[in-house]
Amino acid sequence: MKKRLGAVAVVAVALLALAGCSGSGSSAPASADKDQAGTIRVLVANFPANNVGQGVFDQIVKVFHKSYPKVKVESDFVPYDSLNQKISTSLASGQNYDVISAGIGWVQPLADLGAIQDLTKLGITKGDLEKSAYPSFVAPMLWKDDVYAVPVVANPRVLAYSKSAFEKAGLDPDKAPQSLEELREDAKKLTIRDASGNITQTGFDFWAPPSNYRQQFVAFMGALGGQEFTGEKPTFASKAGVDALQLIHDMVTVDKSSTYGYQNSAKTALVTTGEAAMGFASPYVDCSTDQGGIGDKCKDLVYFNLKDKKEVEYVGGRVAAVGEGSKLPQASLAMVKAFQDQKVQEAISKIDVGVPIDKNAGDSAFVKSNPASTFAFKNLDKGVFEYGGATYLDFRAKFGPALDQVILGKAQAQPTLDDLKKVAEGGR
Amino acid sequence: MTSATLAAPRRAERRSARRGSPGIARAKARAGWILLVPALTHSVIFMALPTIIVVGLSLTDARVVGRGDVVWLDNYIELFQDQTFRTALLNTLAYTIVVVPVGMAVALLVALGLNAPIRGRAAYRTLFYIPVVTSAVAVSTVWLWIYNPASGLANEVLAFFGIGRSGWLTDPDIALPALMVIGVWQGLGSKMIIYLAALQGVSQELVEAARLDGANRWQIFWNVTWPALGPVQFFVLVTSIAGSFQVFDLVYVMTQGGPANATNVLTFDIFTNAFSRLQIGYASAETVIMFVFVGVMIYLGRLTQRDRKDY
Amino acid sequence: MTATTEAPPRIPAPSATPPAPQRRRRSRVAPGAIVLSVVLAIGGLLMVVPFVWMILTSLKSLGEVSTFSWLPQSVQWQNYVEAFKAAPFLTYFRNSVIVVVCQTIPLLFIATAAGYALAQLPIRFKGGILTYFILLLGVPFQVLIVPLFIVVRSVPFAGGNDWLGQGGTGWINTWWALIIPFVSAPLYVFLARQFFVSLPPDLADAARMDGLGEIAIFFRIMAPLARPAFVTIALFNVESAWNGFIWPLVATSSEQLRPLQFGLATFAQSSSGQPQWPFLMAISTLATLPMIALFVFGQRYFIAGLASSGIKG
Repeated sequence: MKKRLGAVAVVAVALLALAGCSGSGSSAPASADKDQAGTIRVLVANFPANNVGQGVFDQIVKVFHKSYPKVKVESDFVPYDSLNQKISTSLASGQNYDVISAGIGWVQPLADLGAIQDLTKLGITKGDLEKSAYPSFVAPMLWKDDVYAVPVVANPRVLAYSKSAFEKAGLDPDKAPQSLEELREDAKKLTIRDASGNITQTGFDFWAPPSNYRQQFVAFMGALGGQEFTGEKPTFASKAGVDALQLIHDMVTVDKSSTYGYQNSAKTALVTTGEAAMGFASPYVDCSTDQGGIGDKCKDLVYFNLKDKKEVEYVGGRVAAVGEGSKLPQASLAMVKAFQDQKVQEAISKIDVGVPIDKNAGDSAFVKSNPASTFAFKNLDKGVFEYGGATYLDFRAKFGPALDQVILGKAQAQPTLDDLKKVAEGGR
Repeated sequence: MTSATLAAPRRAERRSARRGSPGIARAKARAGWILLVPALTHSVIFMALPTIIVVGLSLTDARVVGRGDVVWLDNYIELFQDQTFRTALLNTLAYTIVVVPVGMAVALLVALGLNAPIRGRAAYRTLFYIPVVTSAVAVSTVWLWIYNPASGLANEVLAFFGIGRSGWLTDPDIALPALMVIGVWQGLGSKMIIYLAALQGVSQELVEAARLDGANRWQIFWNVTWPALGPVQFFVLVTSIAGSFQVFDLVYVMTQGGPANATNVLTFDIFTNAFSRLQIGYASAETVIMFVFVGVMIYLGRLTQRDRKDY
Repeated sequence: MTATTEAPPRIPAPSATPPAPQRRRRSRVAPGAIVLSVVLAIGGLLMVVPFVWMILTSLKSLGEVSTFSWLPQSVQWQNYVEAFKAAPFLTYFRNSVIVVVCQTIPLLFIATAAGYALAQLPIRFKGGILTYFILLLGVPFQVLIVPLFIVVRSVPFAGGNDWLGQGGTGWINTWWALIIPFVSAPLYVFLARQFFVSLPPDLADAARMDGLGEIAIFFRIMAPLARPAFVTIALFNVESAWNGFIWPLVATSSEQLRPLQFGLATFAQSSSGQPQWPFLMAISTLATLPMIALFVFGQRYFIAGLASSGIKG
């Protein structure tokens, strides 16, 4: 039995070695080739599989076809949750995609796995990235100091408070909290309860279901000057991290200025629906009075950043990369660059609920269309991100439940973060 | 083939049939294999073979198939030291031990009720079947509303009885029992159908004869209906155990294993290991362990069958 | 025949007499029946709550979604039309129908034949083979998708593969990938077997004496007796094929092959981040209709004593 299994494993490895043999990446810089023919396969996470999503993708293909008019493009749209299954099966069968569009945080694990290839060898340098993106966006794109992906769209989480709620609680509606302690105190004052003690107005909404306080933690830690990872080393078990986690615990479980893990039916931010006085929010808000729009509530909202030692904005985002083993690396690179086209970024922002990464997109109609996008875009330079090293995906899966333990008071912050640090350093 | 064998003269055939000659037995066995082979071959290619690959993967540290080294039993050793795995295992055992008997009992009762000649029973049967076809999003949304800690129906009911409110799915101590309720509710329709189908085969004449002999409803059930359900009962038991042990969609949609791993179950943990963490070798080892547990539980379940002949 | 069953009583051939027992009972509208009806009605109501919510929500306007509600403020029948326009749903529906039908019809033959064989025919090792099928029930699909993907991709001579199954894409991104892996399943073989085990062998013996071949015996005599089993298997597989999501997602990339569930995932998020539930529920409601229809239609086989004309004992 063992021999047979060993044989299967060997065969599998051999198969993959054979499959992955091609395409170690040409070193010539990308140039248009009007005669190149072939097909590239593009894996895109989170494009809605409807006419709108298809329309946006067609736009990207049009830009791509300017430089490679004869290369056909096959798209594969998958929800974010199933992205890894697609990558797993395609790598397992030796049929990696030519272009992969995933999220920030995926770059290092995929690079380590050999699923995406070195873009610097194909001709994109850090300097190129810095031409259009803020410096803070460059580090998450790197692996062993080479560029492995380009940023396309940013998905920030902004913060907002309600002016009227501030007034009612006796706070100055024109002053956002200037420190995390002040945020905590304000949240306490803003929490309104009914006779039986149930919250009717949340003081500070974290906008997180259970086991998903990760990004909020990164934001709080960032405000205290800390970072999740520095290079590939985990640095979240620092004083900033411990204090941030402790503060979240205090706000949720001690002050009870929010209900742990609570979300409304539509899973939208409570501060925009009026259920909370202050909290995390989406970088897009519909101020119309149409279906789904919040109309006049828009005027009541003030957007602000978490501030303490630093002023930060949590940013997630979409990246594009070239798959390892691609038979058409230059064409794939051109496709990746097509993702970066300004108009394309704007179109993707709409369906991604984000904002364009390009520094020069501030004038775009989309960014100017609503106060949340405008604010989010303006503060991209203060971005803090959730990403790490090769072990990032491992670590991320354990991160959420571990934070739960501390937030619910079942564990202490420092030892929990220390254990997580071990996972991030490569243990399991 | 078989018809050629039976081309022998009829009289000789009848003699053979009465004596159960080897010719007939051979013909039956051959026909048996012919009828069995498609399903058997199919299962070998599409289920047994992938399972063997999984076992093979469990001996490697592959993150993705084909990229890893053989580490023999390291994964298994590590798993038993993994707190998350142990929690998932315990949660799964607890879930199965509760949902299987409760689910089966309720389904049987409902099927019995729906088998009685009452008016409109076709309509009632359809009602009980509907959760099986209701969109998963609708099911999860409504249950999330019921369990909503702020304004949900469940807390309103508790308040009505003067009991304090609960966090339900956001409370690590209550989340798993809360999911068990949904599990029973969801599993009802399918089990009920199987019981209903089986109840159709219970001889009405036997029931009538028993009734004429003065047996009351319970005696009729225990002596006529229950034994007739034997084979199907075994099926429901095995599939309930396997199904509950492999509960996934419910957790995936409602709680994602949280809060704090309180609803982390084996299949969800395997899924997390395989795809969220991209550690397919490790996840495969976990699958093998889970498989062993399911096998043991099915074996134990089989021991509860009153009539082993029906296995 | 019915009087000569040995203990424990096995399920004899269904008698040809109509459900006469009912008429002999005097107290037909007994209080027991009323209580039962009430209990079943309440239980039934609890069962359909999400379904009712689904229908009601399909008639709401897009803005009513953020707070949970029951009745729509105003009935938006046009949601049903609008939802269809949002994505190529006719294609998705068509794909689901093709997959469901092409899986279920062969399945009904393959699985029941195997179940019958294991139940009634003297196959060597049949105990072991049954155990093998039962054990296969213990393997969760979530992990199997990766090896299954490899198997499906390595089908010799398909999709550009050579005789060893290398070099091409096999059945990936074709109808075969969606259908063939599911034309049989241990679950249904096991279910069929449990149904057939209770059928008396006397019927088959009588047919043998009449010169009927074994396989003909299965098709013409035993299978019709197991109609409830057929209906059950059909219902189960239709439901699981209709709702299948992860395998079609992984095994295909083309929209021309993807099923309904994939299209429904579309509505999970719109540009404002709010899910477009009314549309989602509208399509979901339509999606449940075939299955409910199948169930109602299959009810005919769920009435005792209505099975095919067996041999009068």
